[in-house]
Amino acid sequence: MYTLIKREIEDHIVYFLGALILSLFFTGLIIARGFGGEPGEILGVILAALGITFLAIATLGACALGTSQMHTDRNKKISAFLSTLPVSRNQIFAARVISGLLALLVLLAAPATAVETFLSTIRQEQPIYQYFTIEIFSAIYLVGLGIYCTGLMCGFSSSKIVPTLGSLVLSVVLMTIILIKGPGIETSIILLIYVSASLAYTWRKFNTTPFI
Amino acid sequence: MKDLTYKLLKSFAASFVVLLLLSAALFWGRFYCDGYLYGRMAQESTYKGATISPSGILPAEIENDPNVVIASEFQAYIELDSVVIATRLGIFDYFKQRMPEGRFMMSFFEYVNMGETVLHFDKNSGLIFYESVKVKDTDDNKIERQKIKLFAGPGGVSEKPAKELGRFYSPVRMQKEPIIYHSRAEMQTEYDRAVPITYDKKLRRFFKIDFDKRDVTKGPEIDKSINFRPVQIGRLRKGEFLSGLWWNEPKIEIKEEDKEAEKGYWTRHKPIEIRFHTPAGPYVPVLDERGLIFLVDRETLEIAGEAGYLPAPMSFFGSGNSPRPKDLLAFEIEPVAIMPDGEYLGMGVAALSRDGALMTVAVFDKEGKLIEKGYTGVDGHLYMGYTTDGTVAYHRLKIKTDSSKAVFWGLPGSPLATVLRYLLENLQGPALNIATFFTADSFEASSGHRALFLVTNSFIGMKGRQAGVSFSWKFFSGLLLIAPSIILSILLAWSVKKDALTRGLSKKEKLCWIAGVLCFGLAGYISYRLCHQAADLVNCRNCGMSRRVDMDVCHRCGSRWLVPELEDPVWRVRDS
Repeated sequence: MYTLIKREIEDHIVYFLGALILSLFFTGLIIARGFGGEPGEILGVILAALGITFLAIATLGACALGTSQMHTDRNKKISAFLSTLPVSRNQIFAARVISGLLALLVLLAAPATAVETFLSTIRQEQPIYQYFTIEIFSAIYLVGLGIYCTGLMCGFSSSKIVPTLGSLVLSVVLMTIILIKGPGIETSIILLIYVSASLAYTWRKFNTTPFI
Repeated sequence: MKDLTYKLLKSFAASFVVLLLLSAALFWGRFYCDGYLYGRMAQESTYKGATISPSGILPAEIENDPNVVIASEFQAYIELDSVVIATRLGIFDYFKQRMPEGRFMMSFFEYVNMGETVLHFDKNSGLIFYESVKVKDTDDNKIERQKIKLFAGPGGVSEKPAKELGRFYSPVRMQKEPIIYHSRAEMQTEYDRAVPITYDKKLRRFFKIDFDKRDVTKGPEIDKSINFRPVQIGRLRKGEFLSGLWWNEPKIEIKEEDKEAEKGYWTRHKPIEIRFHTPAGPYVPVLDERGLIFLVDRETLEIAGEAGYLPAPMSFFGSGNSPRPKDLLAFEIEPVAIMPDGEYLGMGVAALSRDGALMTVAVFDKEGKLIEKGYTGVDGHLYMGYTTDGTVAYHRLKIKTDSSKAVFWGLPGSPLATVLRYLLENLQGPALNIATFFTADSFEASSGHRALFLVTNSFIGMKGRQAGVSFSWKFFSGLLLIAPSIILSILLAWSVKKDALTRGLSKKEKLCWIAGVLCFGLAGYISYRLCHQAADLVNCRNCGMSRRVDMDVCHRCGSRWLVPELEDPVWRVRDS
């Protein structure tokens, strides 16, 4: 399993490096804005963190990674080849999903830590909602995961239009849920169900589609 | 069994994915329509305000003063532009509710007192935390800042949290009342007068917390038999970005000889000499969960009586039931008292409907009796007509249209946007539309604007909230309202039935999918298509229809695959 995950990361190293660079860049931005700006700019910091990371997820990360993983598999028959080895399709799928989870973690962990550190320093002096970081970043993480799963779902197709255009359109629609509902617990539950549902659907499709 | 479980899992998973994505896409369609409708109303209507003039709360000797040229009035308005529509989105509400004055922070009372004062409730200790910066002018013209931190409980005020202070359990936040001042000294007096009052739901009594005197005054315990559940104290309002209510005092004409001295007034009129106070004088207004407004004596903390109620705004289908605070998108209460005696005169109450299209204004006298009620409306549009001498002239319609209808039909281009919105609502599927009908009243008004599945601000939702008609009439007219959704679902279900026959789905599976499509309409149909990719079909040798290659028997005629007859070969291998 570990080898499979490692292989997935190696195959899509560009995405991981991109996530890491962006993560460091956003963390720097948050630190500069938070610790260097006016002390009252809490909302600005949170909004900046939300907007920027959100945009990053939307534009570069999750959707492309998911689509690329599945589309390459479908067209280059990677899982067909791997199945000749003592590896099951379930393991291949699990390794793929774990690598996606890790990519998102790479992107969001550092900015989330920076925001929480900043808020904890000013929380002593001002009443600040204590679950800001958890709620906002868990919602962003789940949106990112949802978009990644949409990429997986649309990517498992032999045509080129469905994986590229389809996943992009659906990702944009999914992304707007955070605007519609706000990043609260309700949104997290909806997104969690979406992630589970899209993973279940893709898993069944991936497992039952013959190697043709 | 395992196969069936997987099939069910895939079907439910695909259905949820489709339902969510389709609902989000439909949301933006409806949002665009709403933005267009309300935006047009803001741009093109003559105005979307309601005025009650004379207000009816002033004593006759003031209102009928011969010098008064403009009577006192209550003015309400709705903010209708597209930017304001965007603030109804969940992301704005999320941050608003988590700011220091928001619902999640329990900051009771916040005001600027030549520095900053913050008050918030600490759930763990059950104490109200007070922090203030007092600014003093020293003798050598310097400013001295002193930071004060205090803790208050039902038992008193202290510099440190102590057991003797007791604890609050579920205090109701007091909102800052508007402060009227005409000089710096007056402002200071007004701020000093502003003492937080809270009500604890468990302790069932009011508390006045004076941090300057470090004293807590307890009100009498309210009898448990009285159904009294306050939700707001002080300035009673909700959705302040979406609407507003103003009290205007009577005005007199500025005399020609006084104009030089009255440079501050840019019109020909100025307020009369008597001064008014928009907080309720000796009382603090309290809003109850049922939408009733009470007055509580600021000194004794006893309930002085009922002062009014939230009026029911009309929707597209007429008036709804008496609203609770959660049923309104916005409301504002403006009590009026005479200064300096502080005699309470009455209040104006404005309530904005769930969909944000109509505002009702009601005026109550000091006894709490309704004096007058009014609605926001549109005065009409320019239309072309002919004068008696045959020349073309433009006139304005004089008929005032109630704004809940005008927003949908009354403006150029709005019928098209209304029809589009209606059709988008119908794409939600009959089951969700019927569920919306039954739950239209259960959700908080602003949450209806960010609803994905149960669209409570839809036409079917408005129908569900309609009051004054029998349930059967309401239900059947509601069904008629969602007829496009029902017809579409029937057509799609018929298509699924036909397709299922071709694909050879089992009877049970076919019935399940037909039921799913009948309930969820388009979302059900797309899910069906996602779960059933194109099957390989060949002609059946028995019935001539298409049959599946992966099944033992033809799903139409039940015949098996025809096996060519095996004949013994004529040759044999023998031992020589």
